Amino acid sequence: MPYQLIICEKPSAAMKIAYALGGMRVKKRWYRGLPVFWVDLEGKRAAVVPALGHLYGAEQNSIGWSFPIFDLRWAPLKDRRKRRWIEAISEIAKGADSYVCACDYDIEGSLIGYTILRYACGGADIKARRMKFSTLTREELRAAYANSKDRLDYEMVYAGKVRHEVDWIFGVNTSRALMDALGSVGGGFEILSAGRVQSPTLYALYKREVAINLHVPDPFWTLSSEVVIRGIKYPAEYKVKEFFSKKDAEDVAERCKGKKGHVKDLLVKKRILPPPPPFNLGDLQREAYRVFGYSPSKTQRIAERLYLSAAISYPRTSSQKLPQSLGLRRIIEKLGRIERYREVVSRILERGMLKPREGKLTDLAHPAIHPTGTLPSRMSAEEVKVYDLIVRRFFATFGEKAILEEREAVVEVNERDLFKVRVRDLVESGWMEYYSPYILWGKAEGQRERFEAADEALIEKVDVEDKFTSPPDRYTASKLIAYMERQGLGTKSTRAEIIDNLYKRDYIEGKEVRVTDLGFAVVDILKRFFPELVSVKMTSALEEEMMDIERGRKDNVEVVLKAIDAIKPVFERIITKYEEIGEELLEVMEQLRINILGPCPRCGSGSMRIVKSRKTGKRFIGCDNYPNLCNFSCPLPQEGKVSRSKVDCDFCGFPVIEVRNGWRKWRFCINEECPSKKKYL
Amino acid sequence: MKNAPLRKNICKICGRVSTKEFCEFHEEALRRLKEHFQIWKERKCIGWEDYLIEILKNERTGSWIKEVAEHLIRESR
Ligand SMILES: [Zn+2]
Repeated sequence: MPYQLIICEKPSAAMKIAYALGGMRVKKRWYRGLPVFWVDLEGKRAAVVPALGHLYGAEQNSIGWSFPIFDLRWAPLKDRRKRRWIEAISEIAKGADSYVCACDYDIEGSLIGYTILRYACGGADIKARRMKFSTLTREELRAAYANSKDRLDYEMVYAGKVRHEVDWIFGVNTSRALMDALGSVGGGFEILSAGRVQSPTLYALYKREVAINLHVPDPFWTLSSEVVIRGIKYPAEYKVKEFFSKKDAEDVAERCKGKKGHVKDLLVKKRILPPPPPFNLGDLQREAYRVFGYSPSKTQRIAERLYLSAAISYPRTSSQKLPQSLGLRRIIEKLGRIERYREVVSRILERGMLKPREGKLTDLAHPAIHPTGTLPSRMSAEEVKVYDLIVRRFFATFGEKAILEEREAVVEVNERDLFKVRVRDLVESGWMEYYSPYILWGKAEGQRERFEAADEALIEKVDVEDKFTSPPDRYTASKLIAYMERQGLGTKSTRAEIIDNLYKRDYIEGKEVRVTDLGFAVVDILKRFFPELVSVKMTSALEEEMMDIERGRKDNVEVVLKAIDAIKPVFERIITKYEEIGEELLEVMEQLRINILGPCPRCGSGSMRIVKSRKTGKRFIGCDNYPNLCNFSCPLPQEGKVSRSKVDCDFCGFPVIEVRNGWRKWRFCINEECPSKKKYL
Repeated sequence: MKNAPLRKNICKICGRVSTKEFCEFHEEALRRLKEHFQIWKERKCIGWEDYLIEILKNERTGSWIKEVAEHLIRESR
């Protein structure tokens, strides 16, 4: 008897969906390595089948090596397990008479479902239905199935298709150009990766690194002062914040210290702090970084797990909206069954009207991230943390505004020297009480002794402090995501992954992001020869067009052709510069290879590298097994180009290093105990 | 024939290809070092050599700036 085929994005989602639709009578069967969940839907059988994320991708259509290349087709990804799954799904599809796409409701999910239906199920995409859901709760999944749409969401499918195709065209052609260029000068086969979003992102980091490396600190002076009013000491700020002459600062300090004056002006300001909007993915990533120090990709992974266990709604959203149709009261009531939320919940419900504060940002497919009220039975410590953050933020949106009172007194001494004293008091804590574990400046500071106009004031302390201008801050992953959002680089779902890739490829390192030598070299080359690829302009314009496809305002083929038109001349121009690029690449490769000087002569398992001391900034040769397995090191001259010579030391057999500085060139053995030492070979 | 590259100089500090004594980064570092000396001279009444030493000691100084300062100090000895 024919059955229905329901395609899901991954195994865990398939299981949730199967049990939500089929109740307790789900039969899990393995079919050639593929888990299939058989369910009964009102007398009709259905096979709920998972994908493993993308099973298909873009690949070259023609045969052989050509450049530039724009001719692509969609084909099974080269992954044995995925290919086996495709075969199994095709087999099962043969007995199906109707089809449903139940992949995540977003661009990637829609594309995953579409490619499987189209290529593995004999073009079934045209007759498939689409389930739309934002949470994996039973109720919502059942409603999504009952109200499934009678066609796939082709707008999202095409937007996703264009993204993959354009990325493929950019990536393949850039790597080919680099490899061809290297080949034209007899260089080896090295892969430098560049990407449509990756490269402009790396370029932003590169520019920041350059600014930091080129920072010259300038000296200036400030005054650090304290004023006593009504017996209470307050930090104060002199009217001149920065002095460019130490003597000027000292003069002020001398004539003010210990002087008595009075409060000349008093300004009382009330600042209203409205509740925050609910989280979208970017906001959640930033907040989790601030509060827990989690990287954006980590937060995203945790949030996705929470979503798969039906605890929260779909996290890859840009929306800051919580429509009433979500059943907000019911969600809050459900959360009230959790001990630690009981009190907050009863206070929110007491207020009666449940109107959340919302932000401006919207999303075509999903509301803001919110708890579902379903609590998973088991959560890791990290999941508990992120879950609590999401729940409290959700509560906070229902809170009242907080009111902050700022009192600013201007204290005058010597009839001309003015000091400002500022005090902040939280008068109404409002929503902050719901969000209190995560509030920046702590709880209400309590009622302070308040100063009034004309109060007497004593300048107790005025110290001159030496200061220097600072370099710009390094990006953290979370600041980088904010930058990418502002520049329209990537999408909410891809940003964290792109940053992860930069780490994996060794282009960047550290929590406070530092661009590695390799990252530098890659940008140097791209910037010189493919300026369009590092520019934010081309990439963000494309993102805009992809959004238009998603909204159904633009044709996908047209956008791909336009992207090809824009990028084609870049690649064609490159062909005429092969030798120049090749030479440069060779040089860079050599430079990078230089940093690795071969296996360590002491431990054998590590490699010798040129490293810079964090403390002194001086370079030396060290083993990369340091400090665990090996402590081999060798001092180096601080200038000149270092390489490993082809010969080994005649005396001890250790490697010999060659240093070239301008026209000078010398060699020495890296064994400090070598009998040849102090005598250059 | 294409123009043969007239350069093939190597930066004295880092070994990068350059057209001058230093590569573009260290060249820029040198320019900034000189430019900011005017500010230091005015504010701290300091000579060139002492300036270089102060710059080298300062933890906010960028690494390329430090490398150039170090190079200049070594050359002057
Ligand atoms: Zn240099």
